[in-house]
Amino acid sequence: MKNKFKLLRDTDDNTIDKLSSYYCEISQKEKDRMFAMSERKLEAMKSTAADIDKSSDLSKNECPETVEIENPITWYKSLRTFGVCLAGVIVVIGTAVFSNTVKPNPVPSVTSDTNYVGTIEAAAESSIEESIDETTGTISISDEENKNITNSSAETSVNSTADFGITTDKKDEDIQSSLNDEVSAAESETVNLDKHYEELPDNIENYGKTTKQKILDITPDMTYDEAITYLGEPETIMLDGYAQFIVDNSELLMIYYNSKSELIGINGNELLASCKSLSELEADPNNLTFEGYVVFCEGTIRITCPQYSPLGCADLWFSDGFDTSGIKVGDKVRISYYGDVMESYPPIIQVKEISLGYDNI
Amino acid sequence: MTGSEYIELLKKSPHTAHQSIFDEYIKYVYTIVHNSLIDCAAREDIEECVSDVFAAIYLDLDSKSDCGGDLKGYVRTIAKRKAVDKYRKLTVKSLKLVSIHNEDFNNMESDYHIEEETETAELQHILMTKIEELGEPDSSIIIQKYYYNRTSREIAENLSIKGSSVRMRCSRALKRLKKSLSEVGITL
Repeated sequence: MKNKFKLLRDTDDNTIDKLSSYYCEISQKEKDRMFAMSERKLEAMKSTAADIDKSSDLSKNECPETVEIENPITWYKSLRTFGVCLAGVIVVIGTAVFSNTVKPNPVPSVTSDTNYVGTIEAAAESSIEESIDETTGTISISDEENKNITNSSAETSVNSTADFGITTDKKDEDIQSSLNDEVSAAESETVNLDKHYEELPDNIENYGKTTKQKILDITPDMTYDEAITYLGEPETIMLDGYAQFIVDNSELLMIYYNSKSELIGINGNELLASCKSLSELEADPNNLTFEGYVVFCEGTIRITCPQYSPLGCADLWFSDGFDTSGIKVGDKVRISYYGDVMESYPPIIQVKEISLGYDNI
Repeated sequence: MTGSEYIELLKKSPHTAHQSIFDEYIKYVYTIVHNSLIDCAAREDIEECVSDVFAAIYLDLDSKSDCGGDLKGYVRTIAKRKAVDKYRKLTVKSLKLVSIHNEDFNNMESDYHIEEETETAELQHILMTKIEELGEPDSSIIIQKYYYNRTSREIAENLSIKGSSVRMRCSRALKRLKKSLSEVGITL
């Protein structure tokens, strides 16, 4: 029966009005209990609201209106400034030292003609007046303010301390002329070298420079140490069992050795023949070419290449399509191979190109 | 009681103002709350919710300087909202949560059916009409007995009649109500 009356749940407002007006009877005891409960709840709600306001005021009061900035001690400021300056100086010095260390060759930094004029013109901005006599090729620099160097007829001062490390102040015209020639020669040579160095492949480092004439002077009874020293700059190039030279700015000579005291065993002509063209290296840095003699040709082609120290003796491995029918023992061949060498004995190289017909022993 | 009258009373005595508005709207608020919580709340829960309603009314009206005219609509709104809050608190444990990944999720239907609601509203109207036709004090006895869940003793105290008379009248009134409802096709 009670469940049937639950259908009156959520009834309309008119029914609510009827139920409340005519049929709702609440005892005074219940009324007092509910009224007292509502009063307590009201006080509790006011108290809660007051606590919230109080906490809000506290948080507002506790919020700092200003921020106190710490004033560091005066000597600390100075110390900090000094430290920053010192760090800057260390960085600058370190950068300079590093740039000098990684420089590939201690060649004097003489610039080309254009750059040289540019350098002088740049120096003019620092109160140095200079002029270049193009007809005679002489370079005269004068500093009118300091009167140290005059640009008169006889007295010529070539101030190349920045670029050449040479300072002259001579009145004699012969000395002046010879000096000018020397400077011009040094300038020309260095310009060519710089131009050449810029064109070197990236994989060529720690090299010296020599000439074909010096190479031709090499004899088989010289040790590697003597030969390399004769060719020049042994202290910079004798590294890791080999030395390499730029020959007349056009070819690369590589000399491999196990011990510097061993005899080189070949003459200058043979050594010169092993030079590689820089243009070829530039085109293909991985191009490895050498000459040798066929010593075995039955199924496997074995060559000996005494001038080519990295191998000495090697078996050839041909890719499909190579015609090796014309190769016989005793042929002198020029072989280009891919860089990888199989570490067997004798080592095996993959032939990229083989040329016959040089001569026959 | 209007809002202006309540403010005037509040200026004189907050307690008096609270008591006045409580006495005027206690039946109305009680009925609204009971009507919303009839199938889920005990009597104590209903009383607590009624006290919550009045505490909220006090707190809100006390902070106002002018409450305007009739407060009945205002009280009804607060009472309904508090009753809904209470209903949610009481039924939160019985609510069945269904995951959206449940395979039956797409087949779930709303609990609201307009046909059933219309039929329920019609039944409510017929029921109230038939109860009113019983006449006093039988209608009051039936309503308080089966709607407000009062005991015969409480009804007797409220109606100032004997308990035995309440039980006898209630029995007879219920028989008449069943008969009248059966005439219109409704069985209790």
